[in-house]
Amino acid sequence: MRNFVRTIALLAALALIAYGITAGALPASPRPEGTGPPDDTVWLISLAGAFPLLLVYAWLTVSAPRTPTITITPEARFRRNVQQLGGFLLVGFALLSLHLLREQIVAAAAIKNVSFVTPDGQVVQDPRKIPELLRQRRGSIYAGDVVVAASEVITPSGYVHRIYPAPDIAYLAGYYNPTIYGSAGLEASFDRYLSGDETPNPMVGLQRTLLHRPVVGADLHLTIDPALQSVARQALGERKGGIVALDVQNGAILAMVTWPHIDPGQLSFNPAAGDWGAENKRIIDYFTAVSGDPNAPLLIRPTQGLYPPGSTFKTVSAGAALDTGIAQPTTVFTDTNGTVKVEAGNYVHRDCSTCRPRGHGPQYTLTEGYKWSLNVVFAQLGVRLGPARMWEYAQRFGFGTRYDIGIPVEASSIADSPESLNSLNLLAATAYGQGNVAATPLQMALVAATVARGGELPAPYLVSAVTEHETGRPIWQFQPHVLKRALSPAANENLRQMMITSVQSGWAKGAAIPGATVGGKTGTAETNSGDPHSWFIGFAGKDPNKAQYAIAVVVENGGEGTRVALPAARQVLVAALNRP
Amino acid sequence: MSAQPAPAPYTPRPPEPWVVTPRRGISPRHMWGLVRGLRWTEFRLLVIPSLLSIVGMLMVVLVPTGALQWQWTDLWMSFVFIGLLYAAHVWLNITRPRADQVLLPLVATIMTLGMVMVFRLEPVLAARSRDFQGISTKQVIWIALGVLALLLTVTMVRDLNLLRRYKYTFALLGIGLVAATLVFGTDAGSGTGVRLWFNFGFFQFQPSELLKVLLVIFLAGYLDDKRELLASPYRLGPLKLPPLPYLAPMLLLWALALVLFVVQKDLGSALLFFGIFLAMLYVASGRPLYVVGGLAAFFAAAYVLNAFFGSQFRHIQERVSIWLNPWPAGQQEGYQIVQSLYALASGGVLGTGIGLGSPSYIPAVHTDMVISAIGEEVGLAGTLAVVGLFLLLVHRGYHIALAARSGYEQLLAVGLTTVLGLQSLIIIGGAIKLIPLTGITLPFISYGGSSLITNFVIVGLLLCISASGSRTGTGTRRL
Repeated sequence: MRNFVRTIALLAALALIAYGITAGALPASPRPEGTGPPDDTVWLISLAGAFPLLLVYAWLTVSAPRTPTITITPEARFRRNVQQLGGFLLVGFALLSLHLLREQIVAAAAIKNVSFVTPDGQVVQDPRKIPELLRQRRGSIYAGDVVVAASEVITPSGYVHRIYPAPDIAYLAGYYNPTIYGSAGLEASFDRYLSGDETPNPMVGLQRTLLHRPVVGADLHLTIDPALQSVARQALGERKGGIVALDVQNGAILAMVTWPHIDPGQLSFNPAAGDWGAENKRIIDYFTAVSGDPNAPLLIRPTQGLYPPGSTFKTVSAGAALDTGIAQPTTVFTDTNGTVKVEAGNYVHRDCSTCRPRGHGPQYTLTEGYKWSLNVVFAQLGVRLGPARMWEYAQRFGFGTRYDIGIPVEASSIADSPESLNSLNLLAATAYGQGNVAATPLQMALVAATVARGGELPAPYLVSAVTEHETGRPIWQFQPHVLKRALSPAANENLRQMMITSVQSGWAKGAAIPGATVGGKTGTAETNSGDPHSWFIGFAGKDPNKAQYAIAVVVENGGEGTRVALPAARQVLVAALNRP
Repeated sequence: MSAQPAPAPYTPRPPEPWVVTPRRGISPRHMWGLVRGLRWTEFRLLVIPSLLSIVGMLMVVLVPTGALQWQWTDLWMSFVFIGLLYAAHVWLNITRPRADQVLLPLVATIMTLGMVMVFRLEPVLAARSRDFQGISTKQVIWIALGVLALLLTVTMVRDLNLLRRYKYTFALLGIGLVAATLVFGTDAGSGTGVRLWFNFGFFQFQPSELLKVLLVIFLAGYLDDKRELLASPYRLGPLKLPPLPYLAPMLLLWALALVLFVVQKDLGSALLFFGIFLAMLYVASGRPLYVVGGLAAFFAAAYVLNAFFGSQFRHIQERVSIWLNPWPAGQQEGYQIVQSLYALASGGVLGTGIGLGSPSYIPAVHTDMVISAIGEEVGLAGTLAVVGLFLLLVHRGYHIALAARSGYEQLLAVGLTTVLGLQSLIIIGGAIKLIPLTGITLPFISYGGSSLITNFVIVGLLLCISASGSRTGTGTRRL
């Protein structure tokens, strides 16, 4: 009986402890107001329950069974009392150990993560976090051989200064500022690799912990070609806008330029600074300045800038018409005087003032409408396509997709909703890239790349590989793949020929490069204020049937696509074709 | 009367062949016996804290440089420490060869952890305030004075019954000293306004540390005197009551001490005294009823005080609410415990390594919260080691109590051991948020002179008791 009660008490206590020790100890998911502490209520209640049970166990273990025939000597009684007292202390120390086990192991991750702002505005956070992050030897970011971001260890403090030595590429890395603003861009999205949290082999992690080896994060390798990037940077100059150049065959982003841009080095905390307060002040001042700047230098225009694509979007409309069989390249449209009405009312769709070639009759084939960029032709085409097909083909070309390339990407769209395209005027305007169409340069470059590679939309990527810092062994590699098929090969071939014709004999003929096959489309996108945005999209390759590079250029309020965006794009394509 | 026969001239009988006559001088055999009788167990066990202190100090010296560059002078504290330990060992060989041999190595091992932590914390604390400059040197001085106090105790206290005779004097002296802090006390620069110390300029003395020894001496003497009475209940009609009239002096003195601590807001000491009293009462009487009654009285008193004098005891309510959930006040009242939790969590299993963590965020990290610093830098392994060492210390102390010669010495040993055990339980439990946090020191580990010296006196008294203990002979028992 006695042993039975004793065993039951012990088992019940152990069960309570096993149940309670994990309760509420999982790390809470971060919320805008912060991460809360682990909930100890269940654990403390189960400990409070286990305490008397363990005392009962200790008591029954120590005190001898009372037999009435034997009187206990004072000495034996004293021994028993001391043993019971010792049992009490033993149980106390056992509870201490269990509580330590919970706080140092089971709930440790949850406790370390606690970080929130109290109602009176005070920050409760582990003060180790910031120095730990400042000590983090993050991996480097490379573009080819060029160092985009690196960690400089400051001796003897062991703090690390994050530097960004390549100003033309650095903004693609984002920034790293553990003291105030956290991190952004690749520094944020590839943090688990850069910080070294992710190791390919768990033994390596354990070894580092045991031997206190400083963890050196893994390196990122960008697809950016530094030489091409520099050409693109020159081509854009100090004009607001962006350039994206892609490798058509795999979707690698070879150049991506934005202007204006930030210098992430200015946001990097330098622990070598004498006065950390002043260093933080400098960073806050810089961030306030750039975030308040009306020119929005924090915006990566090639992926976050949403512009009306203007006539470059005619590529998508034409592709939809060819693929659905609504029109062939030779299908004739009528454009008598450069204006057309698609529904009752006063609104008139017009060709641009310089578009219509002189001395041409009112009949235009689709190819002619495309190469001379006639809005009237495409307004009629859009109406024939109808809202559903217009929407569907835009999606097929990647509109509505948020490409996962590690830096912030906005999804392009052609309208607020498919239903809104039921308005014929809006549908017609959409077909020539006005209306509510909003596209990023990356999206339009992908349109050109899709046409250039037989109608398949490639997945774009900016980071090609992650390698171990010491050994250079790859930990992660991007596998180039196709996202979806936009057009059938036959329809696509027709569209490709139209783009090539546009360069051979259309308004995009300035983009022709001797010895290469170039296809392209200019765009002059009307805006609500100021001059139109200047656009060019296109592709080029030495092999007439296989283009190598696709490009999109936008210059904000630059004026005509032919005169502004096209020369810049040509410069980049020439440089790209000269790549080794 | 016949003449008695003249006594035969004395002729020594030839010695029996099996009798060994001691020769003059010391035979090799005798020498061997003497050498065997030395405290070799202690000698060998002391190697552990010695090596531990050298390794610990080396880690503290080497970690900031990150290179294998050091000088012998960097380790002077370890050498002084080892010298002190073996000096104490030699002196014990001379004065108390039969005293317990495990106690000193055990205490020295615990102390090493404290010494290394204080040495490690000094640079970061000194960078914050000049008051902390030289605390590790001071700690070594305190250890030296503590060892001296231990040796004085084992040398001077030849008869423990002398202590018993002056029990009332001791108790009143202790209470008087603590009461005097109400008038002359300072808060030792802790900024808390809790005035527990006397300022002697070079040395802040905390009389409550001394009082705990004096009160245990008193309780042991008193309870042993009244042992018979305690066991026989006092009848009041059908009710069996404790013999209250006989217990009055003790209850009075004990209540006085308790009230003093509550008034001084020294809740840790109050809790400690309450626990010691109940423990000794139980061991002396063997009646659980006393413990239950004591606990009931405690909760009743707490309830009444809270209900009627709640405003006076705001600090107690605050402690309890912080214990239940420290996080919302994580930048104010809960700061200390929140920082302690962060430190413990960042330690994990093996810790960051000595010198590689940041325990200096925790207020009072070198005194009350030292366990959290150990938890951060040595991890769960370190904190469990501390818990285990204190458990061994308690075990050893009770072992000495069971082997003691008289009832008085038994009670004294139980009381002194319980002081060490309960005190470490209360402060570790408080620092890790198992119970409400109260400010008392972790014996032998926390920085501070009063605490170290008093705890050495406790160890000295335990050694005295073990040396005179004869029942199972802990002194001579070989391990």
